[in-house]
This record gives sequence, structure tokens and C-alpha cells, in this order.
Amino acid sequence: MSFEQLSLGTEAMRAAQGALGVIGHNIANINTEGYTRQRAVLVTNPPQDYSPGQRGTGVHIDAIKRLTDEFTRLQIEEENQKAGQYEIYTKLMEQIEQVLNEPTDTGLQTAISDFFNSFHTLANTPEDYGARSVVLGKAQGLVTKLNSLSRQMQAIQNEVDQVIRIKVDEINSLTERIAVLNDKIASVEAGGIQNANDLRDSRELLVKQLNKILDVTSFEDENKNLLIEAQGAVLVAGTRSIPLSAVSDANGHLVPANANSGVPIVVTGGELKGLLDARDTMIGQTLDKLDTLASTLIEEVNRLHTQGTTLSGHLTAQGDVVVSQPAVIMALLTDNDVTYPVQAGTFYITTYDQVTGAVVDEQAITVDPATQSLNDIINSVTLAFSGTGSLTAGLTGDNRLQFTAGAGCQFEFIQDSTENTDDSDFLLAFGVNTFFSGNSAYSIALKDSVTADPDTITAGKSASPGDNRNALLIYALQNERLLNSGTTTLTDYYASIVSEAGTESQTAKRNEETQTALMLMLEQRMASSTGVSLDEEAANMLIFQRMFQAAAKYISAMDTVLDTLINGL
Amino acid sequence: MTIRVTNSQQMGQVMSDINKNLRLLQELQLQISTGKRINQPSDDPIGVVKSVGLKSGIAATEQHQSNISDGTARLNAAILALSSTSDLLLEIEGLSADVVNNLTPQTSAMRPIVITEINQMINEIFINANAKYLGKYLFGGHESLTRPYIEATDAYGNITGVSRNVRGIDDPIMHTVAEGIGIQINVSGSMPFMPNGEGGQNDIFDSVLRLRDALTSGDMGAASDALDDLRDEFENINVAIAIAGNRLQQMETTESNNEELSIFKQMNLSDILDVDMARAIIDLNYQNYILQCSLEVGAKIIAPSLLDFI
Repeated sequence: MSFEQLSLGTEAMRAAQGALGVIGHNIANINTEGYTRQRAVLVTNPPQDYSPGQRGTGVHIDAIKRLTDEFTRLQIEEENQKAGQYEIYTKLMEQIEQVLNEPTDTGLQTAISDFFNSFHTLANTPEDYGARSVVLGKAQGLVTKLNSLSRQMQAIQNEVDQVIRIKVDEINSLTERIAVLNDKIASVEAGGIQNANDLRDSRELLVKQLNKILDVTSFEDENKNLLIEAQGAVLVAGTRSIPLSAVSDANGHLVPANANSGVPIVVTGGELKGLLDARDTMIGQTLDKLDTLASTLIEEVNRLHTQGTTLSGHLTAQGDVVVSQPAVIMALLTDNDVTYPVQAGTFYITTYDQVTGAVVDEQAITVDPATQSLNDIINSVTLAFSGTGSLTAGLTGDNRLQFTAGAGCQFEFIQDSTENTDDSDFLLAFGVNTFFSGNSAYSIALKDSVTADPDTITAGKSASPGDNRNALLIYALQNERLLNSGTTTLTDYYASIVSEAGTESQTAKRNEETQTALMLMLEQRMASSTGVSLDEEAANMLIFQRMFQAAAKYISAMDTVLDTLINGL
Repeated sequence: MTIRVTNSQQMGQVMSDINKNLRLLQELQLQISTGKRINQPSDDPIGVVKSVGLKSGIAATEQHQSNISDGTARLNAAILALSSTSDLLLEIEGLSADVVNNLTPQTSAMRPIVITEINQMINEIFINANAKYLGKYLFGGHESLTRPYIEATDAYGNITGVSRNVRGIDDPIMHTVAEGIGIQINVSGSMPFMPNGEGGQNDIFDSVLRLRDALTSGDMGAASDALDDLRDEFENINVAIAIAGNRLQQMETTESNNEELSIFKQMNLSDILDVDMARAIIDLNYQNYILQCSLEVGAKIIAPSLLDFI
């Protein structure tokens, strides 16, 4: 009999108090993100040799352990990449759908229908200003719609660029904090005595957040440092983080890259993957298709338009294509100058007396792009009409093709006697007597001369005002299979753009739903093993509360025993 | 090992279920409030493609109907002018036949009056040949803003000869009445009045002017010849009316076909885009019920805790 029972009781009280502290910590963090429940591990003190046998010496707290679930945690890290990727991709797909704005009565399909139908309104009354202004109005509607589709899609791409910049900053902030935590955890756990429970929780949470943005792999080295890599690019090594930066790629869009070397990193998952996929693949393709649609529309409408006649004849006709090298043979002109190439063929001009409407002169001009330059054609036109002096050709100050009627004359691009028209695409190539200008959804516009004077919309195939044949041909374009090597109409092509966006968005939504369900399941499993249960803590609290009381009572009992021993004897 | 159920797990499950139910409810609410089953392409990509095609078809049919109504009006106006000409020819024939066939002193006295009337009617025929619809000459072909027939007059304003503006006069003007189908909506300008040029066969003006001049000069032989020609002209103009009438009928048939087709397309479009209201409302109520259940169950599960009992 000695005083050791008193210290046994004290230690038991201390252990109970420590355990209650852990329980308090658990309860306090019941709703803390990334928190893993902890347990005080109680271990019996080393026994003493005694007669007749070993005697127990009480209890102490050996460690405070995190009850973590490494397997589920790694799975969550893995799946969180996909969750981040699908979530942001779905949002962007929804944005694309909103831009396309179908099915409504204000989408591009309506604009296309209205535009072509207006050419039949023109065909019904080619003599009327009213019908011509209807064509202008509907054409403007179509042009505006194409422009705004293109601009809105590009705006989404620019928005993505902004988000990529923000995400890169977030990655840098996360890796920096992970590096700091690496340092702290290493120093706490250095002696092998203490567990850096809460610091590890923080670090795991940061890795989880990092995985949502970018697919990274992590492993802990022998110094307790977490090494983090993204497809071979090291982001965190020991207590050092390597920052990323957003750099421009070949298309002028931002991609994440190593801040020091400027080498882009490979992105295979996470929000960055979703952002890049949406911007470069989906929006990129949609923009390309809109451009193809617009370019085909411009080419086909313009070709027919150059082959028609105006209501009141041209006094002057200017091209809207600026030709930087008019002396170079036409076959060698690059796309920057001429989108729609010149073919070998012939175009025709007839000049009329402005007052009587009688034919003054008609000439056929042969065009061979392989041997002739624009200047050659200009010379041959002027030479051909030199007899009557009723027409001259030349270049404007900014190198655009221009035809000018002689005094008292006006002209049309047909041969009056045969009604032959341009089969060389010469006028189309240089934008003379065309309807649209530009060559993409972004750049399509109405030709200035057409908006300035709707009489120059070419409804006819002859100099007669009631001739509606060309308007009928342009009207009929809407049913012609102009795209995908003659299999698809303009409307069908647009429908395919919408359906591709719709299908992609639908798939994205389904992927996101599946991923969300999977993540929920994993999070639930994680919550089941590492989350705090109040009932459990309450039960444990009761046990340790009672332990504390009993230990105190034990001390009091021992005190009485000692009192009897010391004072009573 | 027993499966632990923790508070955050319970809360997560309840929240996820309630959110899911709310989202389904919201989808149904959107469908009902817009009346549309498809509100964005991803709701039904294939349906959207069909709807784009159908809408452009419906818009095309609307344009066809408007083309038909414009064409019908112009053909009717042409038939009106031609019928009036045909009537005038009959009248001229009736009036002059009396004079030519019954040469009595009485009819001789009538002659100046008949000639005046015939002059009047020649003017009317001339006006018919230059008839306009909405400011455009019906019989001018593509030269719709230039008078197709030009008259020469004497000092008294009587017509002495009529020539035609050859340019564009016989050009057909086509209107599209259905996809790929065009119908000519004008009557060739020469055909009813002078198909073979001035003084050629079936030149109405030549015949009536010859008749008038023969009556004026009293050359009943020439008058009788002119009367015979006039009967040919009458036939000719009635053929023109029949042709125009035929085209009119073709357009009317197409118009009613278009209308039916358009109704089918509308119905098809509605099938694709519109929501089945009865079904959607039943679904909404059911979904609402499920949401309430999940809320109540959630409240019951989350509330109790061991702490309430110790």
C-alpha cells in the first residue's frame, strides 16, 4: 500500500479529460469540410512486478489518431477531376445552347427562311421599291443574326480564357499552401511521436480542391512531403511549389503552362480540361461550321447576284474586295485578297442609253486567271469599250475594281442580245455587282452599294423592269443542296449545328449526373467512415464523463483509506 | 464491421434527394409554363432538327400562299380585261352585223351612230390591252412599266392604228406556288391582241379598225371580211381567257393542297415541340407529392439525437 493509487486515479482523470477534449474537438468540427474524426487511443500503463503477480498501473493516452479511409479518399480525388471537368463543360454547353436559341421563332433558321422568302416577294413585284426594302430588311436580319452568333460564341471563348487565368491562379495558391503544409507536417511528425491530424486534413482538402481543377497525382515521400505532379509536370516538390501561368496558344487563346519555362502542361482532367474542350473543340467546331454556312451563303447568293440585272442600271459599280497586288496573275492571288477564286470564262457588259434604254454597246470579256492579272482585265474592258466610250474600268484609290459608265450611259453585267452572264466568277471574286460582302459569319455584311440603292438588287436577267427570273433563282437556293458536297441545304446544315450542340450538351448533362451520383456515393462512404456521429460522441462522452467521476471517487476512496492508515492508527 | 451512419451522411443524403426532387419539379414547371416539351436543343436534339426542318417548310408554304394570292389577283385582273374585250367584240359584231347585213335606209341613217359607238369601244379595247394592276401593265410581259400597246390617232382623237412594244411582251412571269413548281401568272402580252404582229393574223386592232373604216366608207364587202376576221379574234381571245382560267384553277388547287400540307406540318411540329398538358400536370402533382414526402421524412430522420435523451 502506497501513494501510487492516488497517481493512478489522477492519470485516469487526465486520460478521461484528454478523451473528452478529443470528443469536444470532434463535435466542434462536425460540419468542417475535410475534417476527419479523431480518437484518443488509451493504452494501459506498463504493469509493475508484484507479488503474487503483475499489477496494473492505470491508463494513459498513447496517441490521437485520425480515423481516415485512404482508399475512398484516393477514389474521391480521382473522381473529383471528372466531376470538375463535367460540371464546367455542361455549363458551357448550356451557354452554347442559349446562344443558338432554338427552338424559337427568332433563331437563325427563321432568319434564313425570311431572307430567301423575301426574294420571292421581290419576284412578285420586282418593279417596286417596297419589295426591295423588304429584301434589305430581311437580309439585314440574317446578317445581324450570323454576326451575333459568331460574336457571342467568341465571347464565350474569351470568357473561358478569363476563367483559365483565374483557375491557374487558384492552382498556384493551392500548390503554395500545400508546400507550406508539407513543411509544417514534416516538422510536427519528425520525432515520430505526434500526428499532425488537422494539418493533414487541411492538406488532403487542398489536394482534393486541386484535383477538381486539374488532374494531379500525389504521393508522400519518406519525409512526409506530398509530391504533386500533373502529367509529369511537377507542381509541388518538398516544401517548394512550382507556379503555372496562362500563356497564349497558336490561336491566341490561353493555355496553362509552366511559369518559368513557358511550356504548356498536358491537361487530361479537371475543370481546365472541361474549359479547354468546350473552347477549342465544341465552340471552335461550331464557329467553323457557322463560317462555312455563311461563306457558302455569300458565295452562292453573290454568284447569282452578279449574273442578274438591276432595276435602273449601274452608273458605276465598285468592288468591295481590296486587291493588294492587281498586277499579279489572278490564280496567284491569296485568300487575303480573294476568297472566291476566278475561273477561266467570260463575263459580259452591255451599255444602254440612259434616256431611251437602247443598247449602246455590248462586249464579252474573256478571263483566264492562269495568265491574266486584274490590271490585264481592266485594260481589256476599257479597250473593248473604247469604240463607243460608253464604259471604263479602273481601280479605286484603295485598289478596288471599279466600272464607270460613259456620259449619258448606264450598264448591266449581261450580254443584252443573248442574255449571257458571267461564268468566270470574276465579278464574284472582286465583289462587283454582289449582294453580300465578307467571307465568314463574323464578317458577313450587306454590300454598301446595295443598302445605299436597293434598285441595285438584281431581280432580273434582262433590262426589263418586270423581269423576276434572277430573284426566283436566288429564292430557289434555299432548297438547293449546297453543302457537304451537294448533300445538305443551308437550313439542314444549320439544323445539324444545333443538333450537334444539343447532343453534346445532352451527353454532358448525363455524364455530369452520373458523376454527381458517383461523387455523392463516395462522399457518403467517406462520411460514413470519417464523419462525426453525434450519437456516438454523446455515448463516448457519457463513458468518459463517468470514467472521470469514478476516477475522482477512487481518489477520494484512496484518500479515506490513507486517512485511516495515517491518522486512525 | 457495422456500417456507421453519421450526421453529415444523413444530411448529405437528405439534401441530395430534396435537390433532385426540386430539379425534376422545376423541369416540369418549365414545360408547363412554356407549354413546350423542348426548351433547348439538349432536351431532344433529334426533335429540334425535325422542328427546324418543319418550321422552314411552314415558312416556305406561307411564302407560296402569298405568291399564289398575288398571282391569282393578277390573273383575275387579266381575265377581267380579256372578258371585257371579248364582250366588246361581241357588241361590235352585233352592232355592225345589222348595218352590214340589212342595208335599209334606216340602218344607213344609224351608221354614223354605230361608227361613233364602235370608236368608243375600240378605245375601251385599247384601254383593256394596256390594263394595269397595281401600276404594272398586265400585258407588257417583263416590260411592266412601259405601255405594251401604242396608238396613233387622227385629229379627232380617234384611233387610227395600234402597234406593240415588242421588247419583253411575251416573257412569262413565273411565281413559285409549291417547292419546285412555278406557274405563269401573266398572259402573254401579244397572244390575245396581236399574236402575229401588227396587221398579222388575229390582230384585233387591225380587224376592228378595218371594220370601222369600211363602215365609214360604205365598203360593205370589206366590212363583211373584217367581220369574219373579228369572229376569229373572238375565238382567239376566248382561248386566252381559257388558258388564264386554267392557270387560275391550278393555283387554287395548289393553294388548298398547300393549306392541308401546312396543317399537317403544324400538327407534326406541335407533336414534337408542345407538351402533353394533362400528362405534365399529373407528373407535376406526383413530383410535388414526392418532394413533400422527402421533406417530411428528412425532417423526421434528422431531428432525433441521442442528446435529446440523456
